Amino acid sequence: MNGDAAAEPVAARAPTSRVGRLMVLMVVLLSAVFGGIGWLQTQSLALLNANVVYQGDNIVWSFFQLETESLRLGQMLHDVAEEKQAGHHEALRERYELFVSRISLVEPHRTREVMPELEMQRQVLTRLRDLVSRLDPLLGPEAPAQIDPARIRVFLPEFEALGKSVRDLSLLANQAVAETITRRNEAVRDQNRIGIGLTIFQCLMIGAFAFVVVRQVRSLEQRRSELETLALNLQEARAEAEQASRTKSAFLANMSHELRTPFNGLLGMMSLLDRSSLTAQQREYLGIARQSGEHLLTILNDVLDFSKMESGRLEMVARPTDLRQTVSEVQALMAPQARDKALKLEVEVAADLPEVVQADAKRVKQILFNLLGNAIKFTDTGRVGLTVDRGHTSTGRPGVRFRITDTGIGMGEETRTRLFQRFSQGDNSISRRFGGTGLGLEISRTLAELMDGEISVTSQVGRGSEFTVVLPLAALDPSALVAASGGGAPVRIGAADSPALQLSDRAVADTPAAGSLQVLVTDDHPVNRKFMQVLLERLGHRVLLATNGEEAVVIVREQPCDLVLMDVHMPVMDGLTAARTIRSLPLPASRVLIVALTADAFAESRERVRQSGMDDFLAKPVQLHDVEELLRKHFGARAVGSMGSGASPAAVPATAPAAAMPASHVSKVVVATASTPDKPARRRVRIKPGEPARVLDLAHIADTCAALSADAYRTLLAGFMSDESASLSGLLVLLEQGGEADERAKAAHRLKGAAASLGLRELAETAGALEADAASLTEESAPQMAQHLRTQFETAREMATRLGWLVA
Amino acid sequence: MISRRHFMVASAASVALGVATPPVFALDRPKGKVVLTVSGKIGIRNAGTAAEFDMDMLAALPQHSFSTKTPWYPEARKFTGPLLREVLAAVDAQGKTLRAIALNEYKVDLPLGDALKFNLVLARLMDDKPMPVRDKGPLFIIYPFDSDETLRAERYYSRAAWQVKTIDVLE
Repeated sequence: MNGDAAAEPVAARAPTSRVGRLMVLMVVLLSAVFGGIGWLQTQSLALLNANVVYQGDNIVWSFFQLETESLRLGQMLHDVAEEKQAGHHEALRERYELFVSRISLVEPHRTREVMPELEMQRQVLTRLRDLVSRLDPLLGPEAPAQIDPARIRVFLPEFEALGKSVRDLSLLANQAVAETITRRNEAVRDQNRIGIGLTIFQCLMIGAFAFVVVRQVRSLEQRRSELETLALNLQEARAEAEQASRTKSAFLANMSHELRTPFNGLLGMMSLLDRSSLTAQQREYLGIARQSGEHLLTILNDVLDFSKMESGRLEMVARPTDLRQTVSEVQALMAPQARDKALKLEVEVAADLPEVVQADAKRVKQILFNLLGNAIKFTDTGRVGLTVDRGHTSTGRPGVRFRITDTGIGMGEETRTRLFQRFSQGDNSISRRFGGTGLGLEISRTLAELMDGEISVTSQVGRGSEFTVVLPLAALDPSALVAASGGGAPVRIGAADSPALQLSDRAVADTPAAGSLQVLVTDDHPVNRKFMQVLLERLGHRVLLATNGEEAVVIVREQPCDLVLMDVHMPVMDGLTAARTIRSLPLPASRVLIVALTADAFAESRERVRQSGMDDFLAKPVQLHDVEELLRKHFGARAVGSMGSGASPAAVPATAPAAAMPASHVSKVVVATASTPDKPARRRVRIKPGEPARVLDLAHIADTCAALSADAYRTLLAGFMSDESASLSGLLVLLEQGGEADERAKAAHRLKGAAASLGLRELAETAGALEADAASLTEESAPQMAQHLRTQFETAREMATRLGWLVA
Repeated sequence: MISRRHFMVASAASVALGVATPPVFALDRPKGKVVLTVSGKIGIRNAGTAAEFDMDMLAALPQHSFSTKTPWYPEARKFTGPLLREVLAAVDAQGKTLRAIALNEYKVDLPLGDALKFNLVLARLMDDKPMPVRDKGPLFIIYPFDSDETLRAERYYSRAAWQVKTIDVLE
């Protein structure tokens, strides 16, 4: 390791090929070394084996034995020849035989492996064999028993000479064998040296190998830790990004929500303006302005929905839903759009479809509105169709299949692939022509996915498109619907081919008797109570009233209710506690539908509301269409009554509430407005342009008048302005004479609720701010705030009087 | 211990071969020339402190043959004779070591265990012919070198004594 940190990345960049080649080289070298060692071992073994076989009867020992036997025989021959030892002939024969037996031991075939064949060896052997052939007749096995010493004597000189040669041969053989052994030892030594060399080389190679492996492992380790750090950083970055995205989405959601309110006001004002006497050109401008506004509101609604999904605030509430009715409602609401473009809207519902399914009807409808809206938008002539039947998701789950077909412009492959991409419109040139945020499909897809369903599309340029939505909606027994809606048979609305207008007409005609609900309104503020009572009664429902949670619990326990509207902040017992108490009552009281009334629009408070056991949520100030939508959602179209289920566009996000207000109600307001400007006022205040919209929520007021009748609104307003409930005076006392922050917040909350309900926007906003900041008021700022409130109250009263809503 | 096992093995071999061997507790006196003398720790004797055999007595024992290569001949040779353990059983040998002594007083010690473990033959025929002294006869203790690789080693070649005349059974 040269330890150069800067060199590391270079090594790390191209490691694989270089290290790979190095490894291959090492493997080849190691194989060669092992091969060499193997070869050496084989050689050594061969050398050893060659020695083993013949070393046994040591060759030198053989020569030595021959020499010994030769000496012994020589001695004995001498003795017999001299006749020193007569009668030893038998011993001589045996000695001779022994001598002969030793000759074969030194033959070349035995010695060849251990020593070179010696010239002398061959000569001596020839002479020995020659001697034996001549001695055999005398001493051999066939020889006569008696030995003649004289004949022996003849051989003596020759035998002695031969004895010397044998001795010389013995010495020579000794040297030759020693030479061989030395050579062999040298060979072994050489082999050992080579072996040691190879072993050292092998060690070096293994060392190098180990070094490379260690370096590799270390670099891997480093890479791993780098990756870990990277992963950690990425994780943090992702968390940050997600947090930022959520914050952004939440902000967007709030912004959209905030934007919607003035927008409604704007549209409401235009609505009112439209009813006043205008020149044709003014009316045309106004029409364009209203269209633009409505379009903008559609986009705003999309963005709001999308932001809610992004920030995870969108919740699915699956309830038993009458599928055919849902489809009919969609048909009824889309029919006018189709009719405007002279398109045929064909709706077909399969006969074998389950009547009741578990679904979030509002969201299913939203998907269908989106897709049908698109189909109508992109189709100039021909037809738009909706077919509903049984189907399966790609994962095989059974469900309901909605097919939306059109004969419109269609789209090509490229457009289709980009279709569901976020923030991308199918075709830029088309979107310029048709407009839209491009969020509709994305929202539909997200909604479908939230329901575990899926959307697919097939299309051909110029031939039209077909969108298929499959939602795994579980079929329910029809009785589930009855149970969920608190009694009464579900109103089943006609065959799929019945025209939409007929449908809504019939619904209106059928409703009042069938759809009457028992509703308990719980609110501590009399204006709010009155408002809700009038509104609900006009929808044809029966209303019970409670001023706090405790009263509500008592009423729910004693008489069957279909719905409890529950204010959250109340004295004695707040709405959350009351809901929990109701849920702990015995059946059936504990099953009653409870809907919170609150001015908080934030997810957190919604969560608290849900945790307390309430089923839904109605935002203050309450709008007529919100109530309608709520009732429709939980009780079906029958609950909306004569205020006009199908005729009311309240459920259509694309349409501004004020714009669709029934003409008769609007005109009443207008008449009231128009007929009073010259009435004597208590005080003439110059009202600047734009001021009414700041002080009053005219759209809300218009809505309220539509819902309650203008007279009812006037009564409520008069009650509030005379401060019957002491809403304002109570708060003023607390502000001017000192009071606990908690008390002030509660009083401000009451004032805010009442003012908002009556559409006194500025006053409601100030009270809201006061409620939020009650704790931070000082001795100086509290009276200022009181003065401020008083001024705004007077302004509102003045304006209402000027508008003729109050008798001066 | 070894002797008892040896005794039992020898008896079992005799019975199994079904040969009418003389009872182990009796040994005839040699009629011809004495070619082998077994001395030392033996239980059966026929000549003072030793047991003597002529060639016929050895031929009367169960015979065993095999061919093997040896360091002494260029080719494999066939050897025939009684198994050494049969000979030892005939004299009820009880020691642990056998000292083979050749005609020229060459001596070599071999463990008695060798005679039990391997089919050691006291060869009296080579290629079915009697072995003259000049051809390493008359008796040759031969190991079956070809049947067991471990036998092809210096240790066993040196124990294969030839021109044997006496076997001394040592403690």
